[in-house]
Amino acid sequence: MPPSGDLRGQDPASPSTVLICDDEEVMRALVRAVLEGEDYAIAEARDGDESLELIRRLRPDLVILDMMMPGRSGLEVLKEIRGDPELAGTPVIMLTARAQASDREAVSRAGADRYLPKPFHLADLAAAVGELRGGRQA
Amino acid sequence: VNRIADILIVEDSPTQAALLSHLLERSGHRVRVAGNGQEALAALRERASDLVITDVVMPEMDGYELCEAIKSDETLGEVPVILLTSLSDPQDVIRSLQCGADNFIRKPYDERYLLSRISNILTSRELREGGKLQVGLAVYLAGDRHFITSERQQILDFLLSTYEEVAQINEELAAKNAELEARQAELEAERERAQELVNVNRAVLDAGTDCIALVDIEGKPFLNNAAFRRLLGEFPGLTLEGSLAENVAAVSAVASDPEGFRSFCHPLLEDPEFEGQYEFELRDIRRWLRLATMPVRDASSALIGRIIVLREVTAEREAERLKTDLIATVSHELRTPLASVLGFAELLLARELDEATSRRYVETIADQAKRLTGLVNDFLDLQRIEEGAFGLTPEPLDLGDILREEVELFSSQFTAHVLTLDLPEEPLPMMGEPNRMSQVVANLLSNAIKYSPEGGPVDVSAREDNGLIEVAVRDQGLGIPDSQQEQVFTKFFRVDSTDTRQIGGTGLGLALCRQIIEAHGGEIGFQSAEGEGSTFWFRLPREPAAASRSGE
Repeated sequence: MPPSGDLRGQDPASPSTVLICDDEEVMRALVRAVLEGEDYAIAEARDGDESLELIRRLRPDLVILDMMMPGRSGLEVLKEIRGDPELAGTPVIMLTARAQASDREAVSRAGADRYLPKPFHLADLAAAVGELRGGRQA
Repeated sequence: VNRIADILIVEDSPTQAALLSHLLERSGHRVRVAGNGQEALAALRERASDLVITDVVMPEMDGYELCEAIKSDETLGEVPVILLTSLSDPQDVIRSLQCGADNFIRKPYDERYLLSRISNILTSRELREGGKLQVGLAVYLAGDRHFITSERQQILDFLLSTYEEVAQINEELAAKNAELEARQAELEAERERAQELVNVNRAVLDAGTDCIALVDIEGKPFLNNAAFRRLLGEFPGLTLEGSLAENVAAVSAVASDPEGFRSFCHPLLEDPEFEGQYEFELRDIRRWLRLATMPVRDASSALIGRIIVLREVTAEREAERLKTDLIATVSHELRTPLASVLGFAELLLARELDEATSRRYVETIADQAKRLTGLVNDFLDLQRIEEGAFGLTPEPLDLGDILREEVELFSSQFTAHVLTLDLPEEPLPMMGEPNRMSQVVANLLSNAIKYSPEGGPVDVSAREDNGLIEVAVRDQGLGIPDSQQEQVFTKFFRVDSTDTRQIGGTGLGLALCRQIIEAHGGEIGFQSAEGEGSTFWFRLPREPAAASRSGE
């Protein structure tokens, strides 16, 4: 266990924090609607820099990351997360309209836990969130 | 008139004897053949002939000796003797006269000439039957004194035939000379044709845009064309005068992928039969070249070297890249609104929602569907433009109205940006297609907003100047780097930098704007500085008639 005493997902009393990173308001609204009704604390970021800032500040239990955002791209944000020992354990779902094979490979290489190309089934997103809320899986 | 005669041929070569016999027999003469001088004398003693034709060069007894023997023989002396001689030595004439020969025939002989000579001899012999006069003559030839004791008529005949012979040789020489001259002219013409062919080939080589070079079997360059030399001119460091191996090293030093270039060239250097193609980029100038090479053979299919053709494929590469980018862009642009439409539809179907939420979702679906429609329309427009089917149905309109509508629409949608509009008080009358004019203004506003990701003012102004209406849309956004300004109106082009990479768009908007403005008889342009923003403007002819007509 890290010395900071990371208790994410281990305390059933405190809700998991999910950070939604997307430059499109309508997409953030959709993801938020999917998570509605579950016990999540939801935060939103509108570009790459804001995403990274909120990840560092809020230490979310799950990040849902868009790929094409102004400033840092989702991919760059992901690489920062995985390169930072304090953040590396954060589960990340990549939600992106970049759906070519090369994009999928890049995302997987960068260390995303899930890759959901748009358009996606809400159930798939909900399932991925449910699986990852307890932390990264092997 | 051909006189039939008995002729004795003395010839040591059976082939020559057979040839001559055949010729004489064909003309009706009767022929006997003797293989040497003794046989000839025996044959004559057995039965006289009308004529003896003897080869000069024979073993044991040569033609001269045979002739002397015949002439000194009491019974045979009257038989005319013709010597077959090559007449290569002036002394031959003297030898012929001394041995008392009646005539000679030069080898190789002309058949027609031989036959007429035989006929003359036979006639002349009849004429000089009777008055014979033996003379003794001392003659000098080539410094030597010779004594000739032939009959006068015989000498005269002989000398005349010699003269005749010389005349014939002269004739032959003239013919030979004419032949040589003709051959010379032919060669000259051939040379000219060859030169012409060289010139034509040179023109063909030089007119092409492919860079062509030929190297010999050792790899040394021996021919190249104008395009090739122009290409070299663009690389001052690259002379390509050395061997193929040296040139491969020189080019790989300036290639973006030196290792790849070298490994392509390896078989090219090792195997004279190698054929292949390879595309490579020149690192510093970012230009792509396609190299094609194959062996060159001579007329007998022997390898004489190799041809190397270089063609610049930068434009093709760029088009390919734009197409690939376009596919990725279209995919991305379609997927985002599709995800919203499908996502909110799923929510509507799966959940019990209050009326306000349902309504909000349905409105979102409608907005996103509109966005999809706009995208599809852009593509269709572009396709129509490309097919040349871009027709306008202009009507009188006030451009001021269109500017007011669009600015109002965008102000309500993009609250992070402050849009201002500066219009003159008078209307801006013109002939145009209202939808198309709205499309241009909307595209320019949308770009100004998209490329000002931090928010910031977008100022729209219009003024009238000298019969033209000029509209400008100014933002204080990211601006366009100098290096990319040339391509701004190119379809599918999108400004690329770390700041703009994430900004969506089809890259069709400005290409469409230019088509529309130009179709209205106007022009479109921009000023931009990276980091300071851009001003896009267009000018269209003002049509006062449009205002009065619209006022009717």
